[in-house]
Amino acid sequence: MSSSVEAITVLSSDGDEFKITVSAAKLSKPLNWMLEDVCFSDDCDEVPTIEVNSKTLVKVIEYCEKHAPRANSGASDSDAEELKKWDIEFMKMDVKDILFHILMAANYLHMEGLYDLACQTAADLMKGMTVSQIRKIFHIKNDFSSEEQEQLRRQHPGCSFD
Amino acid sequence: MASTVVKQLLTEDEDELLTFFPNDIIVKILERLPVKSLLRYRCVCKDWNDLFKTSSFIKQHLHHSIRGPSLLLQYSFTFFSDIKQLSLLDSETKTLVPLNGPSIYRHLFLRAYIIGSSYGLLCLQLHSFPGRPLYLWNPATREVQRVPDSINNPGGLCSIGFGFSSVVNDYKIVKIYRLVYSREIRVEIFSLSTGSWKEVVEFGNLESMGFICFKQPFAVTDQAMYFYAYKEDGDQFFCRSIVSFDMAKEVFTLIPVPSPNFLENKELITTYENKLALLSHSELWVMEEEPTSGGSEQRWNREFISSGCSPELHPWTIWRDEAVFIGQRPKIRGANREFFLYLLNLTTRKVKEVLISPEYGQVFCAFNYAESLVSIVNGFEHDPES
Repeated sequence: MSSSVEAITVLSSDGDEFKITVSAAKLSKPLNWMLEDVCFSDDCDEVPTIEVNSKTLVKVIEYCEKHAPRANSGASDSDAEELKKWDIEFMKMDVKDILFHILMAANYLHMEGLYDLACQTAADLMKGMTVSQIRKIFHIKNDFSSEEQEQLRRQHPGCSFD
Repeated sequence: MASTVVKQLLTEDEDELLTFFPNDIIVKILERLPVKSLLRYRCVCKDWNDLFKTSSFIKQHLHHSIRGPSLLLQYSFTFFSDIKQLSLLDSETKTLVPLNGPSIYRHLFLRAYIIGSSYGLLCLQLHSFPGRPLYLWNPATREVQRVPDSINNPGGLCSIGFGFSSVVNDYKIVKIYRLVYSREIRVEIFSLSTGSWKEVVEFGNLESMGFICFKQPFAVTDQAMYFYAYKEDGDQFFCRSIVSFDMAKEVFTLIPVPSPNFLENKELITTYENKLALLSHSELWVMEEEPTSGGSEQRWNREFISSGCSPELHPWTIWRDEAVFIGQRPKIRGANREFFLYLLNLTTRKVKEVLISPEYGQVFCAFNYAESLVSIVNGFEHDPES
């Protein structure tokens, strides 16, 4: 890889161009591979596409750029605390983006840190919901027969199917 | 915030993404939910109800839960029934939240002492009952089971340890005691996976060292339990060593205390980052394992934690990154004293005080507690899928 390359350009699934620094791209294995391919190839004009929409990709790159210095060099504990606060602020976004796009993107891009953060944020949002709210959000059908419901109620008094 | 989020999600019915949301991601989110929510969501559908009973899910859930344990405090028993016995420290608000004891044993529980807390389960001992029976209790699922009586079931002085070994995936209770007449040391071990006790005959050189008692409380990592061991010297008891018990191999080893002067008996035996640690108001000693050419070597590492920490503060445990002390001071009005938790962050050195309100008694013991779905009857073995 040429050391002169500091940032690469990628395309979102919507066709928009984004720049990501080499050190930030290292947080994602697929991005890292992509980066190596791009830099090694003779035909550098080709811009790789990442199957993530623009709105989400902006957030993913923002996360990578913020976390890259610590991930690549290791940093002090005070930085860790600052980063934790930053993560909390970062996750204050439209809930659909957290639950779905960011989660899917982090999964697809093999970004352990972001995936973990997004899962925890989603769990914190979900924990107070009722059974019927959960069913609605995840499109799950109540497939217990009335006998099975009765049995569960006997085993666990007070449990609710609504 | 949560309610607006729910509204936001529920009003948008036409979302194709939701229908195709990958199941493995949903499982990853569920693994991070509190047990209370999971118990409610077992009614969502059959798949979820089955999932929450699988050993793989329970293990993964515990793996997350153990990273952010709660601080569990037990207060001294009093005859005033309105005094709360247990509380958890809310890590975000830093306030004490009462925790109910096992409901069916409520009247018995008043005199139950927590022996230890490990991987979601607590081991309790009922002092007011003949034979001082032991119980295992999962506060999150409210499951409670009596542990069968041990082989000799000594009524006398007995040191007890409880822990989970991640090496053999099993909870173990160890009882160490001396026979009344022959004064021989006896060791019995209970394994939750077999549900039975066995007597250990090989326990190294404990006997020849002449130890007469192991001090409670003990410390536990995910591999070993550690006790202070005392030896009789004239008519005084001296702490001479730390005895470690490897829960997987079931062997005892002696660990020297950090220095010969280290006998003042003010240091608490505890664990820090899953390593044996000794904590006083001014020092923290951590047993570090260092790789050598021939394997590894254990070495005590000393850190001065604070110069401003009053000797009046008594160390109780290390919780997450906080050294937990209990302090007391006279109330401004009235003759009673008030107690407070003094939390010293070992990384940032920041201090936080939490007043223990009079609805609680005097702190009797403090533990790290991570909630779990683990079943006492089935342990990790039960797996409906297999």
